[in-house]
Amino acid sequence: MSARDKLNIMRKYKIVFLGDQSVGKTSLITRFMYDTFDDQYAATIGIDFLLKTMYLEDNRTIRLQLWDTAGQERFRSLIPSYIRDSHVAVVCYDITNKKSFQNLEKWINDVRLERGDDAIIVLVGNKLDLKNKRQVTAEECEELHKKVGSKFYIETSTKANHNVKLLFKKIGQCLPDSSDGEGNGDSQNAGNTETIDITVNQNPEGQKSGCC
Amino acid sequence: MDFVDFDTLNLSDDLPQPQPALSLPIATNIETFGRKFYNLNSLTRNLLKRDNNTDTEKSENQPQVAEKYANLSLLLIEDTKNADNDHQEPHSDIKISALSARLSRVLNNPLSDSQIRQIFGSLEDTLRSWDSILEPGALGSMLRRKLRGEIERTLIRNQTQTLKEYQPVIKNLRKLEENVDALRSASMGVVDSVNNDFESSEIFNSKMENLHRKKTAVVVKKQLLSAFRAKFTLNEYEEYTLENGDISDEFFTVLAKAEQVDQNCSILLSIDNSQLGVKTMARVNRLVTRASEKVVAYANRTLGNLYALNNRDRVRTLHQCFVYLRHRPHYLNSVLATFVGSRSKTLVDEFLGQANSRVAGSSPQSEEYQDPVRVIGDLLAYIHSVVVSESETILGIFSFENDLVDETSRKEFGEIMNDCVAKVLQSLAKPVRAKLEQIISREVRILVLFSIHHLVELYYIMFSKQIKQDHMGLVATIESLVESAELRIVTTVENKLTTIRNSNLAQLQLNIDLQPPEWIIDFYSEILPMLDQTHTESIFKDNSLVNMVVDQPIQIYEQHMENSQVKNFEKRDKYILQLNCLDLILSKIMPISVLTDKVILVNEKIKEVSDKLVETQVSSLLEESGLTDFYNIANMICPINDDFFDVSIYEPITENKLFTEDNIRQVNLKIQAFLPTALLDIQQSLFKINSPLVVNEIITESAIKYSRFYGRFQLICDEYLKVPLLAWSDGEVATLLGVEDAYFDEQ
Ligand SMILES: Nc1nc2c(ncn2[C@@H]2O[C@H](COP(=O)(O)OP(=O)(O)OP(=O)(O)O)[C@@H](O)[C@H]2O)c(=O)[nH]1
Ligand SMILES: [Mg+2]
Repeated sequence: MSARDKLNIMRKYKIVFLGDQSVGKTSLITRFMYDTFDDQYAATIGIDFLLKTMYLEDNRTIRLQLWDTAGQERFRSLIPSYIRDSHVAVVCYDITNKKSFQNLEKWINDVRLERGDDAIIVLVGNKLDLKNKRQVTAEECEELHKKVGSKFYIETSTKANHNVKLLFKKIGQCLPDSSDGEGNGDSQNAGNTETIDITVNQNPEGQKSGCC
Repeated sequence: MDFVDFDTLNLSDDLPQPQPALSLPIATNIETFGRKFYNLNSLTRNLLKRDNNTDTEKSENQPQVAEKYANLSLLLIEDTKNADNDHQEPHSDIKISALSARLSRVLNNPLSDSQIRQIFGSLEDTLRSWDSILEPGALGSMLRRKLRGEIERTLIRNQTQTLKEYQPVIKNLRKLEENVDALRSASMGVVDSVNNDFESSEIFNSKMENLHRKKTAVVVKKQLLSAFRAKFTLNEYEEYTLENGDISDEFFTVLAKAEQVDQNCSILLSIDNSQLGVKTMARVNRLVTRASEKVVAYANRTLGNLYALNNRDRVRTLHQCFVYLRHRPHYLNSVLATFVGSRSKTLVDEFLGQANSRVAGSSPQSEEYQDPVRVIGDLLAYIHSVVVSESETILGIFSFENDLVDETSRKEFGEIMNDCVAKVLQSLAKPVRAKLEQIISREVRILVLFSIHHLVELYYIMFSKQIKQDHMGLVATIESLVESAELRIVTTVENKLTTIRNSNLAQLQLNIDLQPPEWIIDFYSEILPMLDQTHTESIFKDNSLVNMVVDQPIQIYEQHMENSQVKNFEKRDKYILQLNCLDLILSKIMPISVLTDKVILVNEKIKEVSDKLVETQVSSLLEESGLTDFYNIANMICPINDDFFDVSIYEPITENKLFTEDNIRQVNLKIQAFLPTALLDIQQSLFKINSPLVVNEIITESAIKYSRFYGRFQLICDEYLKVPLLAWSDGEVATLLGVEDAYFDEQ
């Protein structure tokens, strides 16, 4: 495989968005994908997915699979299966909703349960435009960030288009160079780049988080 | 000199015109020559005459002028002679004319005056005396002859001298003549050779013309052939490209050309000798076929190795392959079929790999057994992820660059792409169904089954939203899994109920306590929480579960009552047991929204049983008070509980032999004795009914019914026996039975 080919190869990463109902997970993704915002709330049904190609500053091109989960209680049982093969878990809360922040620990717990320390966890406090209704301070979030060992935390507003790009940029920088266990090159099974190991007994792929 | 331009000769041109006359500069030279040599005019004229044959008689003019002058001179001499001597008159004119002719001949030559003087001077010297000369006789004639000889001598001498002067000229002329002759013969030679040349050039021309014609034919042939080559053949390089070259832009250009050739060949087929077309076509066809196969192989190879699709150039070439193969559907279909086949196989293998590691054992220790919901959830999430990735991969394969395809092709390929995605995903349907159904079919825990049902239902919603084209594929599979789970729930519940139905233990739970059996409580405590959680009505589509959950337990306890000691119980106890069971069921199902219809049904059933119990109660009251016979008689005449009542209708009662004053008096006594404690007895008999509401209802209703009959019977007795035999009024009776309020309300 030539160096050029190597550059040509797009790494694929799975990012799962978690968090209580209506904290703005879908809005974050929509803002990132289409740069739009909708005031109307339409609860996500089950798990949605979207694909996005991202060009990083170091000339790498990566392909992001964004899995948008539903916050509603009745869809909870679906989510663990989606966390288990994700590289990144973006755990969201609504800064105007204390409860959604308190529930972060539960979400993070879910991630740890599935992925141990292998997944990159990112904390996102959304709806920053509603500062006057703030119930969660940035300090509280920082405290939690330190406590749970997340990669970083950030406050965003999808409505005001604040920090959304930065969030994804930072995620992109955090991603390991190769998604180990995937895409082991020129073997005949190159089609396997997409294989997701869902066996539990086997050792989960030893992901190295080499950045940030 | 004009040359014939043979180059310009055309085949169609006529033969070259005869050569124009040669105009050699000789004539002019000769003329100037002649001018130099004045006296050579005649010679030159002669020379020219050879060529032109033009003769001039110009010299005829000059003698006439000379003759004139001679005549004039003779006349002069005549005059002088006439003056001196007339005897000369007999000199005849003939003499004069002869002399004049001679003179004229002399004078004819244009001589200069000095010459003439010289001539005459020398003549005078010679002619010493006219007289002797003129003397007739021998002397004179001798003298004359002598003179003549003298003149002739002089003349000859002069002439010779003159001629001598001419000698070198003549010599030169002779030489010149030789030259001229040579020139002439040269000219003759030239003419000859020109003539010869002309002939030979004519031959040459005709040859040339032939050749030219041939050349034209050859050129035409050549053009034909090169046109043929351009239109109907490929050059070696192109053939090489097709046979051995890499698949590239150039390859496709050549291939397009080959195809064009193939198409062009149809023209060749229509000519007289179609052999050429057939051969060319076969040859090109073979090439095209081989090239197509190469394209197919390339496409297969590229598609077989998805890793290669990360290389943009390769993808572009692949797209070109697609574009090319689009017009050869069988090739394209085979490529797509191979691709779909290999992708399907890969996906299925991967899925089975995943699934088998999870759904391996059926031992109670296995994960699948421990948490089948999670296993199914993971497998479906895996499938979800495969759906996403596969759709993306195939989308990538079919994302053409703009310059390669037009809008219609793009649309067409879009359809092909969707078809591919659908087919590939469809291949997962069977194994997914098999594996998941395996898990579902092994599961016996209703709670777990409900969770599975809930889960697959969610996936059904998601997949039907996200998978646009299914063709009985994954979405249908998930749907069938939902059905399987439902069916499994129904059968499991059914099995449970069947077990209960056949259980002696359950049957024994019915005893004289008249309490509902324990199993109803157990059964509902297992089932109902799940029914309560169910958000969708789908599982109750055919109502089988709902029916089963409510109808079957009722049937079972009824059946158990038939078969157990209960059948020997009193009617009232049976009713009470039934009521207790129904009441329990009602209390259980009431909060469950999906069972609302069933609540109504159970309520109706309770009403039915409690009505029966009311009847029983009423008849036992009548029995106790000895009114049964009268109640029956009255009812035979006209149903006495009807709202409509008229004493007159009951007149026939008088005909009954039981309807006597004595009998009624007896009844009255009985009532007096029994009624005051009746309420207690009633309550006693119904205390086993669990629902106080029902108890109350039954007591009230039966008491009202009894009181109403009592009141109406009292009226009948008063009317037809004419004596007030029954002491208490119906109101009092109602009061004694504790239902006065309700009774009066009803009145
Ligand atoms: N003011 C404000 N409103 C926001 C912002 N982000 C999202 N919203 C609103 O919050 C509501 C919920 O947003 P969603 O993105 O649908 O929430 P969600 O987390 O996807 O919800 P579920 O899919 O049910 O889990 C919508 O009405 C959005 O318009 C924000 O930054 N500021
Ligand atoms: Mg959402």
